[in-house]
Amino acid sequence: MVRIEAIPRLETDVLVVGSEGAGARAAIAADDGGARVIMASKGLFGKSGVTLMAPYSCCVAFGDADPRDNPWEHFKDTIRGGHWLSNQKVAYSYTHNAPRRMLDLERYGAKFNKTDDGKFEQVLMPGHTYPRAIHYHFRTGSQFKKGLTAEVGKRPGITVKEDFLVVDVFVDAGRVTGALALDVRSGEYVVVDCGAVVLATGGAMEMFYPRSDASDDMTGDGHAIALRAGAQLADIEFMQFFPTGMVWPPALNGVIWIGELRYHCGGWLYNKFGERFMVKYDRERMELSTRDITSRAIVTEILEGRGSPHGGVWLSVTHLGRNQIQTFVDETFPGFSFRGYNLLDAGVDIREDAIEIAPMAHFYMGGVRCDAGCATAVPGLFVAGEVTAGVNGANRIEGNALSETQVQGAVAGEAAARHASGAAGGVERDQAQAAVARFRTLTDRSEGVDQLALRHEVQEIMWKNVGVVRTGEGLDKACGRLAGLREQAAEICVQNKEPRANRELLEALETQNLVTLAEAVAVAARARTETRGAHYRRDCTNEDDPRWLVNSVVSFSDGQIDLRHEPVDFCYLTPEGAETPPAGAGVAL
Amino acid sequence: MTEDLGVVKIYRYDPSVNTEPRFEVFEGVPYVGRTVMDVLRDLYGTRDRSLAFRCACRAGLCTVCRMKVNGQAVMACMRMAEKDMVIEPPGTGEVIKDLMTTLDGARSDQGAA
Repeated sequence: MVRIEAIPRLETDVLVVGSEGAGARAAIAADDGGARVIMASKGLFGKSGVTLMAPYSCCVAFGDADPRDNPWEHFKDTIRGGHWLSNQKVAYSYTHNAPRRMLDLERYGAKFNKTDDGKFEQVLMPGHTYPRAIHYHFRTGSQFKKGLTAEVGKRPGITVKEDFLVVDVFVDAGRVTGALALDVRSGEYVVVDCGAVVLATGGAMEMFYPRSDASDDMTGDGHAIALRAGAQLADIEFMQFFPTGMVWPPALNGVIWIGELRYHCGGWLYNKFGERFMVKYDRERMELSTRDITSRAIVTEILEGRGSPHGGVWLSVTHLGRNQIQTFVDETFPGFSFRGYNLLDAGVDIREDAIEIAPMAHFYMGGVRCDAGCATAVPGLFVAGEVTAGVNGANRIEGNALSETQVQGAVAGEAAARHASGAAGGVERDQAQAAVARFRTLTDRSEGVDQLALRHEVQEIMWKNVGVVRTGEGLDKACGRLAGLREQAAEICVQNKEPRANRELLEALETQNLVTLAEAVAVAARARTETRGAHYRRDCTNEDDPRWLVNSVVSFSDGQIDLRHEPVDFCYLTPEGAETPPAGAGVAL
Repeated sequence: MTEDLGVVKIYRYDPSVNTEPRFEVFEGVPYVGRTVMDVLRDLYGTRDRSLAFRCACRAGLCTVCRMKVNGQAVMACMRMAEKDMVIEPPGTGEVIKDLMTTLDGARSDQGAA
């Protein structure tokens, strides 16, 4: 029954959902555009998401280390690295706007390593033709946070709402009129009346937890909100995995720096029979093979029953002398500590013990479909950062994530301010009441599905059947099970009825988003009967250009997932190599 | 071999309901090889869904899981759990509920370069 009571309301021009790399930049741009801005974080501003976790590379074609570099070269590397599925207009906007947007960030207070002559120190990364990664030691993400929090703090036009989970966007007569949020601190649902919304909610790596190296808030909220609002998702079958993260002990789950043992210390990988299994997958390079081949090899061993006790494989350096290992440790992680994690305290002595590792979900290439102006199919709904699809196609080359947040944040924020100036928000009372009543059923019902058990089930299905190694059979199974879980997600009962700071309710709302997205991912992955980029089908191992140079497009139709495929528009660069850049290519706009 | 189990006392307080904070004792808690955050998540998942605490990066970077363990300021995701623990809010910011505070004035170590 709908309760007739006043729902608290806030009013603004632009609501930005997400507060870190892309979100904070969008808020700044919308403020520059003269809009009143509310920036919502479901946690704390400057302390959420994955931006601040990013250790190193931020690619941008300044050409400081090599004058032959320019945004067009960066564009070409991005398209090739994405196995030709990128939206070329979106990718072009990204590489060509990146230089000036990174200078904005420097002006806001972010620091980057410079050479003696004051130029950016630019480093060559895999997949890039020229050295173009700028960085601040191994803490680049922290500089994004530093610059953006300082700049937002100077702007009274931006209201920051923390512990404020946006759960849905209202669309009326085909355009955005506002959003519904859960004020986690009080437990109240709040309507935000606004003319435009920017979703900057990051990725969805939590679908694969504990096989994730991302923060726990990457739950695909923006993806699911966009889908429900009538927007489309694109290329969501493409999730990037980092090959070597720790899986045991629990204290060290997800620590990926341990993988350095493989590269820098000659670490060996073993299955449970003590076989150096890489010989079967890359006889020549063995453990020094590429990330994708290594990930696939490790997961194949695990899935075929040759894994270690906690679902990984063994990584060992014990074939080296104890003093050799000690020297390596002293130079790279003194005191056996990784970012403060002490391996010895956690019961792991790499001088004597092997460690258990497995691939970790790391970055989401697919996401909400948008144009170069960051607009979705729904007027008034914009997207920025990892939640988008377009720049990275089927695979992301290193260093493209951080700079993407700054370009798209600026584009989306500006576009949202412009849109809102001609379209006031205002959610109809009945629509708001109905939405609140729907969300309240989670806490109102006295029995139903446990959200945590449901989440764990989704994560297990995704890791086993929709993870690094996929087969038609496994994907069929996943699609079937996930369709059933969608029904269960509608029956979640939150046991904790206390309104204030209800973690279980917050997680339940996230879990519903994860279920929605997971099913769409499985459906898209099942349809793509080829191997491309991060999508590896063991039953179809060829990259099948004649058939599959198409983007997967997912929408909701009567609550059901609707998947179709559209040819990629090779407007600026063709797989045959023809280059037709738009006017001004090679120069930062 | 059975796993060694510990005892955890956790600060509980909902300022909208309670006049005074109290400590709740959880016995038989697995702690070996786990961080303080792992222990909190286990307790939340298996014993009490109303337990409030913050977690985000799980890697010692975001600092939202600052709290006091046996009187010492720690990040829960970075500190190995002990057999006997008293867990309290960090002392910065206003308590929203239990271990979850507004964290006002808490400075991120990583941001201060």
